Amino acid sequence: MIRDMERKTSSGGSPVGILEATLREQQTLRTPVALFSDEYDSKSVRERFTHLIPLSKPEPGEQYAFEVNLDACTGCKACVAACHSLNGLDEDESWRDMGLLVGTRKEPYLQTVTTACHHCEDPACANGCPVLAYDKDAATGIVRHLDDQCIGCSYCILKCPYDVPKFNLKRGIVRKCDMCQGRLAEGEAPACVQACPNEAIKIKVVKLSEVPDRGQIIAGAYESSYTRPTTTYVSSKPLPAAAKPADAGRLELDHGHPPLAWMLVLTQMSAGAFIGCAVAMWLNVLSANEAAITSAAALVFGLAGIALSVLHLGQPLKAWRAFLGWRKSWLSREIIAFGALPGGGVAIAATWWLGNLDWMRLAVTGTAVAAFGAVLCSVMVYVDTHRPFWSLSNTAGKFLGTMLMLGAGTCAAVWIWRELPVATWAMAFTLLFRWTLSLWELSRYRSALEDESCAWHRSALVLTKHRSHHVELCGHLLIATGLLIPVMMGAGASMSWMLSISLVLMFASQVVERHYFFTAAAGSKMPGN
Amino acid sequence: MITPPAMTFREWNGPLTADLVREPAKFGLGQVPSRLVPDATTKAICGFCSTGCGLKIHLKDGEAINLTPDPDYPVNIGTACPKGWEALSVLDAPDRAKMPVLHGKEVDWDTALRYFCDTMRGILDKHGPEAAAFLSTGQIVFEEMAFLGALAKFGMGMIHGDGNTRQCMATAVTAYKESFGFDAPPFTYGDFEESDVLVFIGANPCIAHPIMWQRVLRNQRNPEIIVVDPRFTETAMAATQHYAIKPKSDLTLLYGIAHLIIRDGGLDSAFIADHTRRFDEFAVLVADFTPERVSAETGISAERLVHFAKTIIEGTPRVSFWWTMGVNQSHQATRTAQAIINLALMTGNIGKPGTGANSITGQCNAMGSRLFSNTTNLLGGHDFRNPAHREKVAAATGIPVERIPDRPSLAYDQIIKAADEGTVKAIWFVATNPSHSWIDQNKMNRVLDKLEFLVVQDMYCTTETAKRAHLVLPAAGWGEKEGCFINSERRIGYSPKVRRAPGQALADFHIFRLIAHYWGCEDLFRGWQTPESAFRILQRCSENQPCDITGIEGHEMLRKSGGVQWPLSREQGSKFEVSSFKERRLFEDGQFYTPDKRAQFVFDPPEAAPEQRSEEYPLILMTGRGTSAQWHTETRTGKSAVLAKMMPEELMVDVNPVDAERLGLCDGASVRVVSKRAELSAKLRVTTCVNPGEVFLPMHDNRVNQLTHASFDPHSRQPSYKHSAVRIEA
Repeated sequence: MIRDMERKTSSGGSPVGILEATLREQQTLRTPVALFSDEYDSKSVRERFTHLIPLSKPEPGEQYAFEVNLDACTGCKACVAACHSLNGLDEDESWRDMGLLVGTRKEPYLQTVTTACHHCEDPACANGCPVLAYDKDAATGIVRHLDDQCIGCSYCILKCPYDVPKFNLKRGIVRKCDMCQGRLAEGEAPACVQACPNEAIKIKVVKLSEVPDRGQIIAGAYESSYTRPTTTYVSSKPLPAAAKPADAGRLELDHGHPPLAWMLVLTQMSAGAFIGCAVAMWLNVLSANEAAITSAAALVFGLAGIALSVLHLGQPLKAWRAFLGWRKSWLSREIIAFGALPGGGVAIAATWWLGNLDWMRLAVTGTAVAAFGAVLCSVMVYVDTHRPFWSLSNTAGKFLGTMLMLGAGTCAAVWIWRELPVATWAMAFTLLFRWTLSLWELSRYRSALEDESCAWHRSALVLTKHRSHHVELCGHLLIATGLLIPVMMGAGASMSWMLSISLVLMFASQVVERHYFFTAAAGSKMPGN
Repeated sequence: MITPPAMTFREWNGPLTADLVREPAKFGLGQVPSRLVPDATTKAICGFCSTGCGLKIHLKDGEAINLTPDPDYPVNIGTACPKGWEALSVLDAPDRAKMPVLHGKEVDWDTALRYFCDTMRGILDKHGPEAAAFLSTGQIVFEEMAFLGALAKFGMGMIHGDGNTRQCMATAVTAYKESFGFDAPPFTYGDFEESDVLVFIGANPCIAHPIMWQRVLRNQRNPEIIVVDPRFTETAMAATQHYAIKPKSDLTLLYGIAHLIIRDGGLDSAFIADHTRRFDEFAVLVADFTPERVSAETGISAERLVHFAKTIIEGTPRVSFWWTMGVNQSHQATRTAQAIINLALMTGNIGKPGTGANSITGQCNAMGSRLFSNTTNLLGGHDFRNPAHREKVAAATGIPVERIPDRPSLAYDQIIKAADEGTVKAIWFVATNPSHSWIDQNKMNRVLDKLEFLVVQDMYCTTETAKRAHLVLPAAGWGEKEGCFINSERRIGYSPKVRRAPGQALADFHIFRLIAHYWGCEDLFRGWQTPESAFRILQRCSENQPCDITGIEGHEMLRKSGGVQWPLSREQGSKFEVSSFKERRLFEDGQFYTPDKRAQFVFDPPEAAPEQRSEEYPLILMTGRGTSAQWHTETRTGKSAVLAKMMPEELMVDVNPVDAERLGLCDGASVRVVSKRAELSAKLRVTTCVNPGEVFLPMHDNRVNQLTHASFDPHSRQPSYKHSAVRIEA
């Protein structure tokens, strides 16, 4: 076509003619494809990789596992690219990642480490999932994620000590490696196995009884006792004892999860207010109406918290299934426990309407107990992730302290507006909790920062590096609510306004603290770069 | 995307699960994602590095939708590095050049081509044929390179044109020409598998040529792997012996090893006598390179030097030597490359399986450029100065002989110098980005800004050079046009057109045809209708040269045969069989391409690098490849989100713990790296991978070459990127 045009041009055709012909030619694909299509490889994928995957399916008591030969891995990262291409993943998505181990000055060492899901024998992701969106295949041991079941709560991301599940923003769900189970079922090698130029990645059958339940699968990886990961890293050269991930010294912020931070503070405030209300009712210092007003305030905060938590979900319409995981998942239990709040609210309203103070007292107490139980579940949700910063003492101290302080603060503010004498007591307790909680937090942070052996030393470093202004802000808020406001009240400022402002400021302080509770969590992961 | 739940407790399937469903594809591919099931496949050669991997392109309705490495291609045997895997995705970048851009405004092709021709002609007419030059590339198919060289020199009448291959391979070219009589890398990749000893000098194939490293690991002979590199690279880690020499002490080291081979009886005297020249003079030179002296100058103990030499002696006759940019980019690069060649010659490690003095090339078509770019050499490895050569090329191309210049071009740095001095007023850059990559970048940019006319022909309108251009011509990229590449082992492979170019971007071949038309010289290029017809012309140019390819029956044969290594003369072509011609090395008969058929020992005493440490600048800066996911100035690799995951987010400067401690800086600190020429900010990476007193920066950051000191090898005119003095400040 272009040649015809050319002839015309040279025999007096216009330059525009040859231009058009050239542009048209550029957009034509037919020629090469018509010429050279239907290529077949001399050997199919199935034949080419038989030596890298097991000959037979796992027997009972066995499962599939990745084996990585470190001697053959040179860090070319073809596995990362191939996982992306052969699985049709999103632009920057790959279920394999590459990290680096380095040595010390005296013992130089360099080893690239390819890593994907370890298809753990006791998968923490699956154990934490509130909706049973993980399935550990009984025959193959592959930990598969059910994309359509997932509600996008991200709890598996917090649970996995290897940072394997990744949130997919576009789809509102988590996705992860499935060891190319469909390929394996047909006797084909997974994408990464196919891609490695040096055959460094293999699929093996391992006996469950031989999956290590202590130590680490490789330097820098989380203690294997938690999930019993099945990947093995082999090398003819022993890893130097001092080998550490190249990014070990890097202090990075984790995801902040703002809806969760707000939800935790609001629900804890609510639980505390219910407890305060119940205690006051048992002490017979609240009338039915005052108790109703206090409970209403507590309920509003609690429901607001629950509502906010929905914002955290990628697939909120599927959240109704959150009870499914109650056998193993603290998140599921927390959701069920907070589900009691609206019920408690209805019971309190009904007993108030009926005018029966005894029943109402029981209803408020029951709601307070349920809310307290839910707060305990909240504590366990984080403790169960095995992150040092979220240890039982740390998390329980923060959550219960917040509950008591903001609960007392809410009661004080509500009761002072109602001009109830018990408000003075609530105020005193608020002040006590305020100082106790803050001083406890501050001293723990100090000692974690100074003590390199402290389990959450790293979190303290992250806080210092990235969030020192938040810690400082909390300190200012402590002075404001713990010193200035009481002094101003002593000097005759309006008690009701002062206590309300104090409550708002204490709430703000806890939201800030809860934010860095997440960002400074310093979750563990496989070696990075 | 919020999806409604199904009314079951557990949803095992649904739209989100379907996203990832894989199903069996034909063509031996196994399972592929359902939405990417191809209806046909075809084969291509990767357009990044010189390894020259075969890629199998998955097509749907004639257009490429995915790719996998070609399991039947003899180079890569079914694997590819991340760049290859991502070769298609970088074509979709939003900053692709879609229309010609003249002084910052989009114009139509007619306007652009008229402006190009009028301006170039104006400059050439007014200031003479030396006033305009072109700077070509190792990144396009050689039919296009040849067309560019022929059009610019024979059609438009330019004298000067060079390529970015000056930055990577010029040294190997010069060294081979002087030593062997022709620019002839003697090896085949099979030699990686056949060696008992592999010596890598200034090469980090684990990262820079991962698929070549695959071939090393396929070696079943349990080889000794020696790495000579100031840095403790991934390849050094995988080696059995690593010699972390002081930067640019490589020539001294190699002479020292030659000294020890002579002393310890490692010579192949028969080979030296029958097939080489000037060994005795060489022996006199290296007599002074005693282990004591060499140890002092390289930092390697005498004992280890002896072990190095002994490993070579014991490995003979299956010792192969491999070098790349660590050698080529030096102030004494050619002699260093020749010192490697000398080691191979004196031990007879050449022309046999698992041997050779082997230059690993850089760009996908650096080898094509060496033969056919019509820059330093006349088409087909000929000499512009030789009247017989001009006659031969005139006959082969149908170009009147008087249109062929009788002198070779200035080298790249000389063209830039001429531009600085004002004698060159217009430069036409094709598929290269010197505003980022050229040494002492600030100076380069000052020169570029002086030009009366700067034309950039590129896939992307956002390259640092394109942003400075008066005129940008939008080019189709790899996969959007067809033609051939020649890889490191001289294998010619064909790559087809499998994608539509964006907007009005055109294949470089088309652009040259249009320029020929607008210039009014299309009659000269009547034979250059298609890349394949250009290929035929180039075959004729190669006739009776060492790189004779007259036996290749066009593109179709290349595609079907898994590539063909040069030479393939008509006579060899008549006997061609895929299996017996799969891997061929040169010089099996000991006959070299010099007039007397003998290889020559070429040598000079070492000299100190021009820029040394000083009190003010106490550290030596080396630059090089960052990761396997990065390619040169990253105009392409920077566009893939997956590749981006594989590279550091910030520029990291590697510093030894001793220096970090001295400076009082810790890992991750923000620092400034300062040279006499410029400074930049980077994050400190404290690592034992560099020795005290040395620092390393990856070349991919567009600021790094502001620091580098511009010195050049006097023979190859290749820039020396590996030795600049810097200091580091908090």
